Amino acid sequence: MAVKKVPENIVQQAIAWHIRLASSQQQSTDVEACNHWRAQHTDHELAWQRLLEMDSTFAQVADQAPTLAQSILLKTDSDYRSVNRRQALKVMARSAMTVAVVSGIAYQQGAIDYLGADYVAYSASKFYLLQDNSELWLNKNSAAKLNFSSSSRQLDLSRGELKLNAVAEHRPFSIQLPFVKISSQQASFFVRHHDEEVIVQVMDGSVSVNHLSQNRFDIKAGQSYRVGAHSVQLLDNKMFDYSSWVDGIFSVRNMPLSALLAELSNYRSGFLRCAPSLAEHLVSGVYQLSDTDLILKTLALSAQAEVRYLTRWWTEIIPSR
Amino acid sequence: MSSNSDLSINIDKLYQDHHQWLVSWIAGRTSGWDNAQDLAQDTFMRLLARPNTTENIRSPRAWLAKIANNLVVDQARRKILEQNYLLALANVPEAEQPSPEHQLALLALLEQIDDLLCSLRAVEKTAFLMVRLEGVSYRQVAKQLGVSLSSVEKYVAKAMFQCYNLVYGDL
Repeated sequence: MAVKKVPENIVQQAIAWHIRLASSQQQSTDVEACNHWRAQHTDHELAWQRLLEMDSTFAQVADQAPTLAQSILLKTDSDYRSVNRRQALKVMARSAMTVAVVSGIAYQQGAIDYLGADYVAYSASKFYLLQDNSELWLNKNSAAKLNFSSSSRQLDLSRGELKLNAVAEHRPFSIQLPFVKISSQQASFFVRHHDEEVIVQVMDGSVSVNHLSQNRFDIKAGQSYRVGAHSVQLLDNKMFDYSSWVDGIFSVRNMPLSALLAELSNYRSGFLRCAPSLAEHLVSGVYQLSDTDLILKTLALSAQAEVRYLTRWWTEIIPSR
Repeated sequence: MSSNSDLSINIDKLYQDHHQWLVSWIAGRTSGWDNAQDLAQDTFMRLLARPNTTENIRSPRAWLAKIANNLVVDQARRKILEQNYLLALANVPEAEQPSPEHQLALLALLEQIDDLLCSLRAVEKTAFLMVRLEGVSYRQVAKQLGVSLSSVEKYVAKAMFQCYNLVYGDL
């Protein structure tokens, strides 16, 4: 069955009109201009009608269960990605022959990060005592690779979060990241590597940061920095203790609710958000990570709000009625 | 005619040479021997549906494995979707439960949408679904996702274009 082909640029134009009408809340001049465009050529009208036809699937769902459907679809997406990663690992372990197939389906860099890692923590944080007696904690969803030689101690953090208590020794201890290298002789510090961005918080001692495109600088105990490929930013160190997960807690001071929820969502599956009116509400406290539902309840109480579970994985904090 | 019978010989030979191998290849990636048989069958069906390609396959096993792998992946994804759907329904209060026919129809629609939006990035999918299903304004979506208005418009356009191509494009 042959389908009449409409040139791609016309389809794109039809889509652009569709979005313009929806996005600009239908100025009557826009509607007129769109009608004019549709009348110009039969292909224009055909593309336009097809978009409407296509939309009926979405319209039916939107009428019936929009929020439910959306959460199911997004949950499926994220579940699928994590299953895929795990399957990729399994297949990978079985034989080296299948490498090409695996990297084909592992479309998230994630699988590759895990595959090359010496130390991996998937679902819970883990503690390791390294051969030099340094202490390493890896948070969940993190992967690191160790490289100790006679002259250096190096650790690659391909993704995730770690806390390191590096013990003093003749060899410097360094953490290698895409655009920075963090080194120290003896220090206790936290590193997050996520989405092309690095956060470093130093609890004890000091570390020095070698940046590919910036000047080398030191971070002292009590300081936190956010480091991007082209930027360096000093953070408010008192607001959030990044490494408090090591003790199974969240420790925050005057932190906007939305920012705290963003951190918290790393510890539960599904969607977590708050009403825009509550986003800037400031929260302080120490929370047990083992029960994130309880944290949400406590947070809501403090904001005179309530927790609404649309489904098990779609959670919102909204103002009390 | 002649090209047709060539084709069926091709497929026959392909089937005889590689069917058993394909079944065990699939069985290593999914659970259940029956299921592996079914998927192997589907793989050959896919081949029949795209006759022009059979002649210039250099490495039949790699090619079969590629198709079969897509099927395995699709199946896994469907399963997750269905599970999530059932879980979500279980959380809906009994009084608000849709009728069984309704439930099934909704699942079919969800599967359709999941197919249409596959391979979009999470943020693109989220933006599109918020706009189209929840009816959130573009401006609000931009605010909630922390991106610019023009990004949201771009995401929605990309989603629509992908849907269009899947439905009306020539594959």
